[in-house]
Amino acid sequence: MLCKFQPGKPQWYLTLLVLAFSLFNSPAFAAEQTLAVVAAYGGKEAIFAEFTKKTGIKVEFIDMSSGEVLARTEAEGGKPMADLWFGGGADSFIKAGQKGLLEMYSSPEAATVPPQYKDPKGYWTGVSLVMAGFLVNTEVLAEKKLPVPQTWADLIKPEYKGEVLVADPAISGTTYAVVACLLQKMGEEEGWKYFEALSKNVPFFAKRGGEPPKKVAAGEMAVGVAPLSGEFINMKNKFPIDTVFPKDGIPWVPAGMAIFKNAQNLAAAKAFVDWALTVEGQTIIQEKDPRIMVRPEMPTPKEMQGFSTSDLIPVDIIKIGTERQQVLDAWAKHMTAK
Amino acid sequence: MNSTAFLNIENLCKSFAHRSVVSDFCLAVNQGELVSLLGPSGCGKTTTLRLVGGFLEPDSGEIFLDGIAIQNLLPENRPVCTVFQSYALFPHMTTLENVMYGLRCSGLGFQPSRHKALEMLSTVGLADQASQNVTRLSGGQQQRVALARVLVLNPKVLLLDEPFSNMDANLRVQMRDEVRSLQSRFNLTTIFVTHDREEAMGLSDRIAVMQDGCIVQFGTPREIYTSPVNLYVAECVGHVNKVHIGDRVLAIRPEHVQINKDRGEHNGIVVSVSYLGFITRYLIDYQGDQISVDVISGHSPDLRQGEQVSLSFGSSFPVV
Amino acid sequence: MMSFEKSQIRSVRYTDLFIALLLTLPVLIFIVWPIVEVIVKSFLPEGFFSLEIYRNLFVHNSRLIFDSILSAILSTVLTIIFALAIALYVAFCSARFKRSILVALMLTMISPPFVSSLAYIMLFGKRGYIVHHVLGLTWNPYGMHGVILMQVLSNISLAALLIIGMFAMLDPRTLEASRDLGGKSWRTLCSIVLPLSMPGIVAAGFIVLIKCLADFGTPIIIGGRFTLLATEAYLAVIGRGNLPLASAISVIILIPSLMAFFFYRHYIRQTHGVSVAMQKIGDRGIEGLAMGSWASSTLGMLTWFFLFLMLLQYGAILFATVFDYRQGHFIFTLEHIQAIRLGKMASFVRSLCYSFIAAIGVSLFGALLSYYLESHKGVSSKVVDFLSTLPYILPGPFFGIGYILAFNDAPLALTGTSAIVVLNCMFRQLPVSTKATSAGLTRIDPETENAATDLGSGRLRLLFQIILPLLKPAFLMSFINTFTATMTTVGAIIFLITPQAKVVTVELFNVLRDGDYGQGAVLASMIIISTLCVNLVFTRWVIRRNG
Repeated sequence: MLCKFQPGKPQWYLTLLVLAFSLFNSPAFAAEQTLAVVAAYGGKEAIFAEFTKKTGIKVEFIDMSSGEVLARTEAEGGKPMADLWFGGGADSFIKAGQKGLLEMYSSPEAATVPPQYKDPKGYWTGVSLVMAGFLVNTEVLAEKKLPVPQTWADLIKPEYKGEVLVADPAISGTTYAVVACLLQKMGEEEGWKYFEALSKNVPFFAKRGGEPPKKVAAGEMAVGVAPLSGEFINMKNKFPIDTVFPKDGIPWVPAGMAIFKNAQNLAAAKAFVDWALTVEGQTIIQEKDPRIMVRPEMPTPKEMQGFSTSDLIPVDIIKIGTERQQVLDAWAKHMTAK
Repeated sequence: MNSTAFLNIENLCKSFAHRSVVSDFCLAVNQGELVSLLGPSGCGKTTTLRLVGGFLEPDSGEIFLDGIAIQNLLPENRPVCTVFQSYALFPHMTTLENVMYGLRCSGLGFQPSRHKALEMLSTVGLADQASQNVTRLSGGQQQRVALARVLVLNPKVLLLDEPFSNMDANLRVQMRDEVRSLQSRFNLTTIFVTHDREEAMGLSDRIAVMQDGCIVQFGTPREIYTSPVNLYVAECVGHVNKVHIGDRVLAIRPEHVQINKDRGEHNGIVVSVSYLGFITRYLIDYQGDQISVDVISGHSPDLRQGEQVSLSFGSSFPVV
Repeated sequence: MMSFEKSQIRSVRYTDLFIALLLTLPVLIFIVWPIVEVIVKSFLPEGFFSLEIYRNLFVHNSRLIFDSILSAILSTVLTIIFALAIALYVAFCSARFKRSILVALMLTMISPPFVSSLAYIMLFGKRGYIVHHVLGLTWNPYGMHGVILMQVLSNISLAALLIIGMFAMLDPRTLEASRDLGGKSWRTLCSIVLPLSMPGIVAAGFIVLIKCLADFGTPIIIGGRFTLLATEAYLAVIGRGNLPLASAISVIILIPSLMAFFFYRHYIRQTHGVSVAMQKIGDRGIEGLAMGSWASSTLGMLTWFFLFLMLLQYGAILFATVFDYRQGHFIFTLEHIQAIRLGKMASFVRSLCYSFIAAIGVSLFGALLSYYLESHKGVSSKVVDFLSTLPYILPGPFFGIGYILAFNDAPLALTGTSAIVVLNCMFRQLPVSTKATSAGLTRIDPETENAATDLGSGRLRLLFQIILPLLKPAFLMSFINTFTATMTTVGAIIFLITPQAKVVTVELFNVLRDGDYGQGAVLASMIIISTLCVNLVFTRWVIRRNG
């Protein structure tokens, strides 16, 4: 129809050419052979590149906090927006599994993974552990003459008022793990008292899991509650920051991996799960984002030397997933009550 | 220069982007006189008017009003008022508010302004339209508002910028008369810009014919019509035939040519006949010149297209 | 013979009806249906009627509603004040710089979302370069003040251009008349210029108000604890998967927008006489208002200050693409650009594609629709016209949530595809396209159409060979607008993107939410530069064709 305007004019050909060119370049047209992933994992670009190198399967991905993935998938009535869900707190995975949003798949490679790191029915499998701690900006702390907080109890001290950034637990799997683990450790009553006190020090709850570490690195905040993975620990090399493993217990949750129900590229998704659980895959993933991995034979990354699994708060992981909604509702109530 | 004149414009120059639009323009207007600036579009007459009105700053030259130089005054401070071609009424105001505007600007209180404005509106016959929105008025009424709006301020000079160009023929004649009677009633010194010769002839005390930014001839309508200084002026105020007789070229008005049915010294052929009511216009081919001849209808011989006629020429002026 | 003619006329009429239906159907499917779905979902959250959500919102979150309306009104008023000052300066005082200021305003209109916020945090944030390192201060940029400041900064250019456009339509003779009658510039400004430009100023205010009400991104990035209705609607979807709540909030945001819209329509109708009187305007600029030097220099200072801020903003962003501030000094780095090349280049290319497709699609569709609406005036075409205007006043989240609700399941299961993103962008810009076309159509002499029919051209031939070529300027304008909007908006599509269909603005939003300012700067620069190029190429094309 366009050419019909004035077929002789070169401009129309130009438009058509550009259009045609852009269409051919469009990744949308190549979508069929690619694995679609929603990811919340450090170094994901490099990890997917390695996977593509190994298997030839292309990967398209989008960044999303785990709570966001759960919410979107629920909102869209279980219609999957991707094939694979990679990374983020297992609590959302547990919930999604219970809501029937996930495909059951027990990878042969998952046999060696300890049972607390995977779903008994096979809806999801852990990749590594998400541990929560503090990321502190030493420059800002020095400027404000504040000591480096060492424990969760330190964080609620009034001198940190306005300097602690925590992400919204409804969105960030890491913060949810903090809330759920500390509630299990302290008990409901003490736990909520603690968070109400913490809220007084927090200027606002970040709308994304990755925001606290980045803002602390930029010096906008002194302390951030953040995942203690190598990705953030290594920011030490570029920014005046330090990581703190809280002395009074490290909240944790497995970082999950699952295939969406009705995934369009089921085989490719399974291939990824298998690959990510092999020693080779685990090594690559650990190299790109140093964490404690789920395979018992994987070593502790050098960034976390001195850390021992006994520092982790002992929790009931399934309960953390099952009670997600109740905990979040209670959170909303306690935080808006004031 | 006539230094005793009421409005004295001396050596006014204005150019836009190095193109001279008004050059060395001089004009002296007596108090109460209506002077027309006549010329085709592009001759600089509107620019001159805008210079006098204060909407443009002259490059050089002076304007004296009643002995005082006004060329550096802002338009709001000049005792000179303009009626614009498009009237430029304030569309968001009523008739009364439009007329009151200038009075309020001058610092007059609301009630006195209102009183004066209403008085002026009844003078122009619009008292019953006082609270009407001006956009709802007819063209003639809008023009009266534009006039009332400036007359109420009692300006020393009134400028009219082609005020009748948006009207049909009948209204034009009517408004022309109205303007003339208001002008003489208020004894207003007026400059009137037009490209319509009939308007200029009918309305003016004197006409200044303009060409390329300066005045070619300045005189009463009769002087200009009967003794134009050149063909340009002659053509500005009426139709002119150019006739080659021998090696001379004469300019002759259509009414100064006589047609005879008998053969004579100058023979021609009737090309067309147009009956225009009061007059009948013949187009005669005379040795390659197309000559138009106006004859009062009924006083003409009954001629048809293609007929052989002879012409005799009355008063003429040579073409330089 | 007689009956033959009759049947021919009738068949023409059926063809028309068929085409009209063909054009109305997309409007019903892609505009009306999603809107209805959102409203229904908010009243029937679990499938049966309940006002529980609304009751909760009004009882427990009245503060939120109050804050949203207050901050939107504050942003709008401030924006209009600044825009008016700039417009006055450009229209009346700045003969020498007029063109350059206009170009600068147009350039700053092409701004990806959150660019202001990004620059603001980099320069004036807690660790912002100017505030912290130059002035040695530490202050909190997060909160209502930040949101309002950002909304004002990012809307001034648009509002100023709208008002300048209005000023340009004023008859310069009217202003001269005012001064001729003794009105000083201040009086001329207050009693002539402003009243006559009021429709334009009100329109600008209305557009800014709706944009501010629907803006959820700015509060998320810069609002801190200060949240607004639009943010809550966004979080209800993203954080809680609570579509009924999100729908209800969207409906609440829509109410003030609708009220503003109807007020505006009513107002325009009242002042119709004025706007008609102003139509027959010369294209010469206004020299009629000689501002006093005091007023002129105040306006000038405001204008140049705003342009300086814009320069700072865009400069900071370009600078941040390759420089990082670490441990007290700037270092050159290609890290951010490499990070983008590795992971986000595909999204950028995809955005360009989507923008091209959406822009061409909606320009064509808008032109056809508008042509049929104009040539078949009647109640039904009025209704269709109103419906096709709706996306303009719908808050972005409303339109996005509506698409999720409407196209999640059969018969049109589009969620998760690229098509839904493109369609959303297309129909969101439909009002601009139809308005541009109908403005173009009024400029076509109806005699032209009659002449063509008289010369025996059939209806389709008439459309394609006479009407559409004459509408090319409108078509190009609509193209540029939709392209720019699609390259720079995030409002509705953020709810629709998937790994296969993510676009560059969403990537920008994500990296900014993470506080990854370097990558944000790279993405913003890429969006600005590419959109600018397309704008320049096509604007030149429009100008050449018109001139």
